[in-house]
Amino acid sequence: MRHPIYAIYGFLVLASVAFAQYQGWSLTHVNEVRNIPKTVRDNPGAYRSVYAGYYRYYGGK
Amino acid sequence: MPFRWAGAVQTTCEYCHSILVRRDLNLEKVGEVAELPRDASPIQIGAEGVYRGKPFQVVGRILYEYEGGGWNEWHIVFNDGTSGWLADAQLEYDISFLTAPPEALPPGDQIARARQFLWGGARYEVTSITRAHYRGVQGELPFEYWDKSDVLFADLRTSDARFGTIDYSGQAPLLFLGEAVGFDDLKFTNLRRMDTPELEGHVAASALACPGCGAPLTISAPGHTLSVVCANCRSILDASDPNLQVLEKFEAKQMIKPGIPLGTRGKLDGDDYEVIGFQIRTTDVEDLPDSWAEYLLFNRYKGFRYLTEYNGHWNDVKTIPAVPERIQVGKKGGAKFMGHTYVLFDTELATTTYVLGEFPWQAHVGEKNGIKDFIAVPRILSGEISQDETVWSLGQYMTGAQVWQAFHLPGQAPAARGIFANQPSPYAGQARSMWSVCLNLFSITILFAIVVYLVAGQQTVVRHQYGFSPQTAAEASFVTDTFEVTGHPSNVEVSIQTDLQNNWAYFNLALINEATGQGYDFGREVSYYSGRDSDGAWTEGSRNDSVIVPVAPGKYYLRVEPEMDKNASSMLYTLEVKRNVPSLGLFLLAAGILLIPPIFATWRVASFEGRRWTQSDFTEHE
Repeated sequence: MRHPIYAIYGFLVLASVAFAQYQGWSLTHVNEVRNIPKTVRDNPGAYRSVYAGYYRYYGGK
Repeated sequence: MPFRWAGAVQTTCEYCHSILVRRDLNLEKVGEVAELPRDASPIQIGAEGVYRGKPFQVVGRILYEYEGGGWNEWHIVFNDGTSGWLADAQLEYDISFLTAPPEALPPGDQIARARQFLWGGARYEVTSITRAHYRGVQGELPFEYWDKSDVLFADLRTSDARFGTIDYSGQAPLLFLGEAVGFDDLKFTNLRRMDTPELEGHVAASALACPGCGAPLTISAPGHTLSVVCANCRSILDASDPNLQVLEKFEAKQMIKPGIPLGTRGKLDGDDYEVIGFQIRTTDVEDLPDSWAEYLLFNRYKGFRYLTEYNGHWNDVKTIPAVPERIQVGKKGGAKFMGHTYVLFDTELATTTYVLGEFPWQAHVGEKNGIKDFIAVPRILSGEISQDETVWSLGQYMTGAQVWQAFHLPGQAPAARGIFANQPSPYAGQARSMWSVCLNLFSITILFAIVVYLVAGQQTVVRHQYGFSPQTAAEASFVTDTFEVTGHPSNVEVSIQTDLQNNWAYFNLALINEATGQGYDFGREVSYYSGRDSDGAWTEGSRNDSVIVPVAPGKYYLRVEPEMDKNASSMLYTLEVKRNVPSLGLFLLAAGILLIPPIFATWRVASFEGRRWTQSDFTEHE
């Protein structure tokens, strides 16, 4: 095969994708928060999401 | 007088040089031929060969001279009784036959270089007009031909190496049509021995001395060399004159030592060649003189070829017996020859600025020629235009190392600088083959993605429909029931499906591990608008959205906090959580990463070609 280095590179990329798929990784970003108090379960309104007040797009033509 | 050919009309006596013409059964002496000058053709009367499968024998010749040298018209007869002519000019050969002109031939005073004729479906172009001097005849000819003086010839060539001559030696012009032939193709036997003392002594190398300074001279191509340059005093001498008359003396700022010394022998295409001449030619574009070197190589049977050198880039060049067909290649001018398409690279006016050694033409410092170069890497096609003729040559790129090896030169060839017109790109073909590997990798990626989508569980863990009205004062946020995520560390996809219409909703979401308190906080906006205007129906956005979150196994619940415009009407939405969902984004990312090397290779190829063409005169139009 011509370009064996490129072929190896390609297979490494595919192996990485396989590993990432197995691990469930994705390209979407989520914010990890630790130690959320158990009281949230009883009082959901007490939790303040980091995304609260996020800019909203008022779309439409 | 024995005759080799029954159809001969004229012959010459080998002993007394009488010219004898057959009249009925008698032979009449019509004159005497002067002793013919010695020449260096390997062909002689009695030589035999094969042309297009038909054996022939050389039975006679007419010898002509002109200011650029001389040539033989050998009269050849085939075993079927027909006859033709084999022209031998500086070891380049053409075979032609007397042909009835398809149209009236123009008179001699109306023929001009570059004039074209369409005969037998081929476009013949006049490449040279020669006023030659008749020097004599020998052997058997098909007509009476003696006591001639100056004769005019127009040589014509086509793009496929067909050859023609209009002969103005008689009252009416005669047309001879044929083709260029290679020496080896004619399978000659009974050739003249080329190592005879007679030939060697044509200009006796050992006896030569420059009449200008007395320095010893060597002539390696006796019979072909017309001028020789003394390396000591730079006199250009007439090699056809036994006294080596000084033709001119040129001034040079410095002595230039050729990279390949004169007299060096080497092998090209399996044939031995000797370097016999060297010249430097210079172009002067926008007051920036640019020079290249040309080495003249000689083989006694194969003739002449050239090695050109510019900044360490070499070309093996041979003249071609054809006129390439001029075409348009995109916006650029071009030429077609032997199935290859050439693109016009530059035109220049070259001046000979230095000469050394011997030449089969009258070398002259200050001689100017127009040159057009066309390229089809690694070949270069050059048309050299002078007042009387256009000479086309074909070059093949060589590296300095190849030249050094061919001529057994010591040391290493000087390194090449820059990029030359017909230099093969070191990256040529790499991009194409890399794209081929890339295509294979893409196929594997797609196959892999299909397998992943087929085997991925995508189990629905929880699915529930909710309603939300922004106009109620109640707390909007709530938590779902706990659900269990099992298996190896993988992901869950949280998807939202709404019934929004011309509205938006924002979901603050947190996926919280009940046991550890670890949460994944994310927000998703869903908006969907539609309508109709002068362009027709339109939609924007989507009613649905989803996000993939990598999570460890455990018990989780979702905290959900929807938001909408305060004046919006209520909406229904469904939240669904799925386990082990493939990520299309990862495959797309992989595809992007796989594209990087071939894109880089393509850029490198384009960059090389870009640098090549920056040296061209014709980046846009001819």
